[in-house]
Amino acid sequence: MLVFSSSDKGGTGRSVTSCNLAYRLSLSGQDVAYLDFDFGSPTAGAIFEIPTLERGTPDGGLHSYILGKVAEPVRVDVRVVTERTALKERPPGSGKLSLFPGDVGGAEFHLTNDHIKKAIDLFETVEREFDVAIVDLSAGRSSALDMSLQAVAPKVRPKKADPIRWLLFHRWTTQHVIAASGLLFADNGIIACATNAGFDQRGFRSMVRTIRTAVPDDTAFGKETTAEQEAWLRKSDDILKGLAKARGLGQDLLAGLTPLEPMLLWREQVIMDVDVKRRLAKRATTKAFDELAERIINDDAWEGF
Amino acid sequence: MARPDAPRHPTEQHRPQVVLGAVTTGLLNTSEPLPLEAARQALALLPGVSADWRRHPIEQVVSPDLFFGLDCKLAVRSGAQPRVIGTARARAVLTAGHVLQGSASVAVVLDASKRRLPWAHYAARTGMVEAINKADPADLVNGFLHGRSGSTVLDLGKTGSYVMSLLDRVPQVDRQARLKTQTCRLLWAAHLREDVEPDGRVEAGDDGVFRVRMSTPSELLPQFVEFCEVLAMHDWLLSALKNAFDRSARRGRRAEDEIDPALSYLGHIWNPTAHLPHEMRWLWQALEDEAQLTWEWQSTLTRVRDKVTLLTRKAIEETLHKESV
Ligand SMILES: Nc1ncnc2c1ncn2[C@@H]1O[C@H](COP(=O)(O)OP(=O)(O)O)[C@@H](O)[C@H]1O
Ligand SMILES: [Mg+2]
Repeated sequence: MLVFSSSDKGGTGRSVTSCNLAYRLSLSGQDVAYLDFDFGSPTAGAIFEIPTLERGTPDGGLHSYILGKVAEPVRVDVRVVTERTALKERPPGSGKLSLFPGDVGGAEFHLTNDHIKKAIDLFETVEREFDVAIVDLSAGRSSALDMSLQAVAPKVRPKKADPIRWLLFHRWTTQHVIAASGLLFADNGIIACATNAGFDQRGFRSMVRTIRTAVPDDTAFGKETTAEQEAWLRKSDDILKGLAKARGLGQDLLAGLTPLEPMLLWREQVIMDVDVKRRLAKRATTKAFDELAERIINDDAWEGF
Repeated sequence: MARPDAPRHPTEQHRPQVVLGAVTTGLLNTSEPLPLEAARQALALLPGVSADWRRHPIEQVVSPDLFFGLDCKLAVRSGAQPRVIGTARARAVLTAGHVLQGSASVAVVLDASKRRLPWAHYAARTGMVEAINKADPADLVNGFLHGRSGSTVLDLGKTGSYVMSLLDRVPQVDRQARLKTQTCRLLWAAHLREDVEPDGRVEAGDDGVFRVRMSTPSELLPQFVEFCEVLAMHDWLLSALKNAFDRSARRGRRAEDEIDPALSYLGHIWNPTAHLPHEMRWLWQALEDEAQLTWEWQSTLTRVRDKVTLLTRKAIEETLHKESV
C-alpha cells in the first residue's frame, strides 16, 4: 500500500505524524518504508534521530535517484542507525522500518517524464518488499506531488494493485483549514491535478482523508481552566468544524486527529510507549497514532464502516 | 604496420585482462511460477532469437544475450578513473519459473586505443569495453567490487536490474507476486591470467552484497560466471525464505499466508551442487566451509516446516473440538 502525506503549509506536523505512523505501523507487524519526498527539507532523519541523516543524505538520496544520478537510492534500517536506544529495539511480532532519505540540499525540480518513470519504478520496488510505503511530500503544490500523482494514475498502475491512501495534514486553526481546503479543491489543487493525471474525480476523492494535527483541548489553558475558557473553546471548536465542513473538509473526509503533544512542541521525534510510561508523553498521543495507523491499513476502517 | 588507432582484431596483446559482472536476483512478479512454455516465450527478449532452456534438474530458461552501449568510467581505489567505451553483455535467467536474475558483464581491454574510435569498432566487439587510459587490473577489480558508485561510474547492477525489469511488462507476467521479497545483488570480478591456477574468494559484505573475485585462465570464465549466478540465486533463496519465516510471526497476520507461498515456490529449488559446473565445485566447497549456506537453508526450512506442522495440528484440534461441542 502507498500512503501519500501532503499539506498546504510547512509546520503542519505532516512529517512528524508520518514518521510516528510509520513507527506504529511497523509495531503492528507491517513492513514499512518511509520515502522522504520532501526534497527541499527532508527531516525524517532528524525525527528518527539518525545523526548522519539529520538533513538528508550527502549523496544518493531519493532526490538524486529521481534525477537519475544514482541507480538505487540510499536506504537505512531505522532501528540499526538511530541514536535513540529505545528505538533500536524490535519488539517480537513487529515489522521492518526502513528510511529512504532525501538529499542534503535537494530542491524543487522541473518535472519530466523520466522523473515520473523513476517514481513508478521506485513505488513498484518498495511495494514488492514492504506492506506499506509512506511518501512524505513537500508542502503545497510541488513537483514531488505532481510526480506522485502521475506515477500512481490509473493508466500506469495495475488494476489489482494495492490501494492508495492520500492524507492531507492541517493544523486545527481557521487559516490552516482554509489553506488545506484550497490545496485540495482549488483550480490547480490536488484534485484538479489528479484529474489531469487521469483519475476520475470520485475515485480519487475516496482515497483522500484529512488529519487534523496538534489539536488542543482545554488543558492548553493551563491547570485551572475557567468556565469561560471551556465554553469559549467549545464554541471555537464548533466554529472550526462548521468552517471545515463548509470547505469540504468535514467528518466524512476525516481520518482522525492528533492531540497537542507537549513533547512535540520542543522536539520533532517518535513518541514511544516508554515516553508514556515515563509520563512524559500523553497516552492520548500514542493512542491517536495507533488509531490512525489502523485506519490506514484497514479497508473497512478507512471507508468509515 | 597498422596505425596505432586503427581498428584491430584482438591479438594476443589486446585480450581482455579483467572481466567485471553483476547478478541481480529477485522474484518474477507473478502469482504462480511460469510454466516452461510461457517462460520460453517471456524470455525471448530479442525478436527472432529463442531462449535457451533446460528441464533438468530444474527448469531453467536463459534469454538471448542483450548488449548495451557504454561510455563511462571505471571505479579505482586510487588515482584517475579510466574511461571505457564499448558494450556490456546481459541476459535474463529464470529458474523454476519464478526466480529471475539479470546477469551483466563486461570484458575490459586495457591496452587498446588512446582515444575514442568510431562506434563501429566497439559494436564489432560485443561484451567488451576498451579503456582509453592506463589502468592496473588488480586496481580495477578492487575498485569495481568496493569503489563508490556514482552516475558516471560503470554500474552493472543497474544493467542487471534493467534486464529484470523487461520481464515486468511481458503479457505472461500478471504482476501479482504473493510473496514480499527484496532484490539481491552480487558483484564479481575476474582477473584473466593464462599462467595461473584458478583461485577465488567470496566475501559476504555487511551490506548484504556478495562479492566474488577470481584469478583464472579465460577458458574457465563461463563456468565462473555460472558459479556467481548459482551463488546469487541461493543467497536470494535463503534471504527470501528467512524473510517469509520472519513475516509469518507478525502481529495480526495469518502465518499461512506467508509460509504457504514460500514453501511451494522456493522450498524445492535449493540444489547448488546440481547447478554448479564441475570446475567450480571447489570454490563452492570453500564457501560452504566458511559460511555454511546449505546448513542455514536446511535449518530455516526445518523451522518453517515445523511451524506448518504445528499450525496444522492446531487446526485439526480446533476442528475436532468444534465437532465434539
Ligand atoms: N501533535 C502535535 N503536538 C504538538 N506539536 C506537534 C504535533 N505534531 C507535530 N508537532 C510539531 O509541529 C512542528 C512541525 O511539524 P513537522 O512535522 O515538521 O511539520 P511539516 O512536516 O508539516 O512541515 C514540529 O515542531 C513538530 O514537533
Ligand atoms: Mg516536514
